[in-house]
Amino acid sequence: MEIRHKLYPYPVLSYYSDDYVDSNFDTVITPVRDGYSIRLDFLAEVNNSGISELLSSGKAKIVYHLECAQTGYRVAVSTEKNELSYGIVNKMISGRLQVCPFIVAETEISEYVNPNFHEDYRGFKFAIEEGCVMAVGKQVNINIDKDISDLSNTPSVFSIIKNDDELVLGMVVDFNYKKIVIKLPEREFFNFKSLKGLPLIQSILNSLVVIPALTYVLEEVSKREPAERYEYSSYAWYRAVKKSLASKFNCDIESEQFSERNMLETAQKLINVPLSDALQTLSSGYGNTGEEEDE
Amino acid sequence: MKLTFLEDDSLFTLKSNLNKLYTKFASPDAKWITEYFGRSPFIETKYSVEDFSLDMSQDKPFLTEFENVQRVYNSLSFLSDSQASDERLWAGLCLNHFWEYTQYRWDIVSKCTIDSVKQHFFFGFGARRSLTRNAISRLWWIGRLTHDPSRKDPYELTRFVCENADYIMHILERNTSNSPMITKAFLSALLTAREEGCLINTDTVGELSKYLNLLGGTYILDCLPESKIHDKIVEKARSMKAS
Repeated sequence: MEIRHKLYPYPVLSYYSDDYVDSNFDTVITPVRDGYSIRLDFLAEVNNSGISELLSSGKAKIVYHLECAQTGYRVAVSTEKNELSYGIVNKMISGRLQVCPFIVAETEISEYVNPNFHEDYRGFKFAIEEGCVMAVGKQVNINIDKDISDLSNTPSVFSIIKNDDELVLGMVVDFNYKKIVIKLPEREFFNFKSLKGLPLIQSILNSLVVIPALTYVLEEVSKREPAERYEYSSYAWYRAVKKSLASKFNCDIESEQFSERNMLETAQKLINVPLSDALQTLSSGYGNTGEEEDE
Repeated sequence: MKLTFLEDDSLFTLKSNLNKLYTKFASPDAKWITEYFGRSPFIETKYSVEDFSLDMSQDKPFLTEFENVQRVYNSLSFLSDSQASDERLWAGLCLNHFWEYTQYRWDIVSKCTIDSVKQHFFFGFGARRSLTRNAISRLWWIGRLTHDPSRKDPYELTRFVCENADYIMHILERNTSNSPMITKAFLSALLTAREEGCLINTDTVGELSKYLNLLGGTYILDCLPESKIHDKIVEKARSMKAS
């Protein structure tokens, strides 16, 4: 479920409308890793006396609608309390979990009025049915990174494969997969394959193949509006890059700050600047130098 | 049989080279895949299941859907939703054990196109739609979303959706199908409406699915009792009959 800024035939308390005055409904949703489960800690603040009364009398409830598009997981967690913890078994979800907070009528409220209605609604009474939305909070999207893969572990965010199209002579990068897929022409692919097992060659391969591919991908990501970039979050490579940027560079990939970065420089730093070791290896005729690892 | 899946790199290689490879998917067997990679691209999981085959006896392959949903879901119901959303598993089954079935069900030999291969052997769409288009994951997910152990016949709702391929599209490819409660309420409402003499066909199921979607814009459907959703759908079906 995605929260859309839609209009209802009766006043709804939300951050995007002025149906109510001097009122708000805010939530803080914190995911916590808990062994093989994910725990969500919910904290809600309702600043509207009329709706608070409905909550305490059981006529309305705070509802957190959880949905994971990838696995089809969909649950509505309801509570009358401001604080709540809810556990989800890891195997039920994968990728992005959408959390949408609402206040929902638990019963029919036949002549609903609220002292904080916008003046346009003053003097009107509304019939609210069971299950109708009374307040909308801000949606939170949580990326579920699994250390334990369901079927196997995936050590790298890059997949280097053969391109069967003999008309394509260079490298092609496709990032619409869970890994960044780098396609090489057949001869180049087999050359790459024969070299990739040699530790001394890693920095050269990373400089030749991985750095340009990653630079391209980062540039493509930066072309999207920051708020739209979360759409990539179903891809494991995106989550890994996001995590790495945050932990190593204190940079949020979904911010303007990221858009302003030099992507060639960022890509090199993310792969631990392999250029120096690569040139050292080449200049010393494949002598002993340090090793690099893929990101 | 040991359940296998297709390794990541091989999956990407096959999918991204389909423009060159797609005609090979009309081959009588899948031996070419091992030859193409120079080794087997399949990896064994920890799961062993009893060997099972799929029904390919009908001239019209869709007529085997109900039987095959039961065979797949009975054999693989232990899979978690997360595992059952993994393209590597289903592509692995289509390219290995169920090569012949995938060709039979989706008429791959005579309609061997890139799109057809992509959507029935692999995942060719977004997360939700792909699950009901891949030849084998489709069977599992129809079972997962319609099997109801609380009924006298747990596959009663499954039998209904398998009457028409459009029902599967209208009902199981919508976001509301992520909630088994909503799906079951909707399907049992269709059965009730039919028992009452309402015409239930592709058009009316499509209309009622749209109505369910509309209700989802007004109510948080997950917060309504199953009976209330059922009753609203039946009421709508009656009003459609009356008009």
